[in-house]
Amino acid sequence: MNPQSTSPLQQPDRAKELLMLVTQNQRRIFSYIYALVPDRHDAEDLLQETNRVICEKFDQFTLGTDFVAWACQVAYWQVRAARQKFARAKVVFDQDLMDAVAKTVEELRPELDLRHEALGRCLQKLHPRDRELVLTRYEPGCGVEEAAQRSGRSLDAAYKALGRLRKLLLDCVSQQLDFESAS
Amino acid sequence: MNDPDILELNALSNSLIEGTLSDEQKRRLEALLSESEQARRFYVRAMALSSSLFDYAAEMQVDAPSAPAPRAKLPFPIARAFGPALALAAAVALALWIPPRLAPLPEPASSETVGEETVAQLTASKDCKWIGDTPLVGEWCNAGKKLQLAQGFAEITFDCGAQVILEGPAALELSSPWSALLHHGALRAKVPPEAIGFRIENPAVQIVDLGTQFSMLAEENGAAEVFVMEGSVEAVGRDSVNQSAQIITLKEKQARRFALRGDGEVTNRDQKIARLSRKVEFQHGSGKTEYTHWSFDGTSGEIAHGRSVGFEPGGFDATFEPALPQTLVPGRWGSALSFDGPFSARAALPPKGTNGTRTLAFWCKIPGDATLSESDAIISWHSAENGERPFAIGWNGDPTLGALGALKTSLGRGLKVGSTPLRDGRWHHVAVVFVPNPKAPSRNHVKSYLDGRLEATSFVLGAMKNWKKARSADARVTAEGGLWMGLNPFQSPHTHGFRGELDELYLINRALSPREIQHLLRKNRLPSPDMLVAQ
Repeated sequence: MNPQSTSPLQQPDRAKELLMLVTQNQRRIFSYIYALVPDRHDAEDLLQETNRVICEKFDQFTLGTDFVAWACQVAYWQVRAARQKFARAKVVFDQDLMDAVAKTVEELRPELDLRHEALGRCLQKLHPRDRELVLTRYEPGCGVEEAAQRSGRSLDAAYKALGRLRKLLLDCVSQQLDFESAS
Repeated sequence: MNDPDILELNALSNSLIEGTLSDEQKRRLEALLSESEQARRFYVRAMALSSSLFDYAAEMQVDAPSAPAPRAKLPFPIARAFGPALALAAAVALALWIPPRLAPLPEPASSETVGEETVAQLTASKDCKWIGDTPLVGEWCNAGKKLQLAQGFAEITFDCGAQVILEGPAALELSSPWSALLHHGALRAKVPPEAIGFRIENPAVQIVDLGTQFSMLAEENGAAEVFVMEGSVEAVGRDSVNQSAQIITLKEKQARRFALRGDGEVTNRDQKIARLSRKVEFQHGSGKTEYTHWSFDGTSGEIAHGRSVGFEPGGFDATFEPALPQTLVPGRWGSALSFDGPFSARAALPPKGTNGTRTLAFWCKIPGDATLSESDAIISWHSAENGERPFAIGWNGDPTLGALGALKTSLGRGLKVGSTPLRDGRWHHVAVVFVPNPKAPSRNHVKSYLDGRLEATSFVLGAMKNWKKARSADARVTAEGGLWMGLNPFQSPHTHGFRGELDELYLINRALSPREIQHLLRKNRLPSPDMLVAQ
């Protein structure tokens, strides 16, 4: 039996590798797409489409190489192909700008992983009421209105508070990384 | 970028994230991003922060908000992002699973690939001295965990049912519920029929078990010796010189040495077999088992009696809705409950019966012509206590979620679909083990066994903190917690209810081992610890 002659999904180890790699890197792939298509629902649709293509083309991926880089390349072409579809969205970067942003995401990828970890620590530092507001805003199926309602704020106050908290978290994450690199 | 630029970019990013960006702001944002690499870096970090917050927020639906996991390993919300493609891929992959013959040796899992999936449990130890972390008896081990034993004996039970005794000094890496990598040292494997296909490997050889007991001695230079005590194994030797793989079937009492430069005879074979055959006496821990059993044999009128052991006795009878005398049919053991869709039964939950580690087991029979609208839960339950989420076990009627007709276990919004279709008009034994993650108790490792065989690899299921808000207002849910048979009242919209038969339902307060599940399947009773040791 020649293992090369069968599809990756017919090779149990290969299928498990695929599932493991895709599952473990969903956040990273989503993050890449979201920077290029800054709309949650559009980005999720593209993530699904990217997952489908990754499944189909997994035999082209060489184990031991950078899966996220490969998956982001797949995602990049999905985003390019879907630009027309998302033309009605508020923001569709032109091709040159999209390429420039994609390049920046790629360059910052190791740092973004560290930032994600640091964000967990920064969330712990928030006042519980603020943390609840932020997390409700980002819960699946929720938005600013829901977050405002649950926290007893007006919609306008919630928008302002969320803007302030995001900046606070951004700064906190940067400080965490500075602190860690200095220690 | 100066401070005003940063503030402006921050405001623009916020508007973008909230979907309130005006056309003018959009042009300004594009201009800033096109002009400055620094601006793009700020933008990418801001968007990544939001992306991470989606992830943490989904996690926080599982965990208390005061305890965000700094190292979030839960996959990005699968139901939202995965879509049907990979679920189908998983189903196809599992459906096509065959014991690998010449599959290439996988790279040893590195710490980066370690997930939260548990694959095995340390079930006993004797005189153990560990290197590094000291696992406790009863501890569940994740995929990728490397057990390093300086001395003594450790018994590890894989989720597939294979049992391995590791003899120190040794190092064993747990790869999956079906496989492990022996870096060095000695092990003995006992593999029951339902775990056929279990694999142990090292750089020189991969042993695929064909239902047997075998031992392996692995040297740090990559060579390994394999001894078959009972049954037979398939050994795939890897010859690095000729870049080839050689398959040998080793039968009872046979032994072979495998090295990267070819295989050969085992020296001092008899002494080694004698050493590896020495019995190891373990002290198995025996946690207190409490359970409720609905046999449906003593059913009278509108009531099916639930017999409790350990749980406070009495009070767990199931009440039929509506009461129909013709709902009893011959079952797998005695009589069974027959469901026709509208009919369902409900029982009170034993205290703490649904919290923490637990096992739910039952027999079910689903007709071959059951329609997709009759795919409601066979069992569902929910405690009215705060923070509890509804669980449901049924068969999958949605092809986008995985194999149609296969076992489906759901917890809150998370779900797992198996691979074996159940709609065949035959009795099947289902056992689902729930093990909360000790670091985040509201996440469960779910292991489902169909007819005693591990149906799907264990999986971490997410759950909803605010599930009541997400489902439609359903007075039954808020008013009536409990264990439901033949219906999942916690989902909306309801389907037509389950059509099929249910027998010998057990709710147990701990995780049954694969051997215990086998025993329950064969004898319809839980084994005593002594009985298991004697087996």
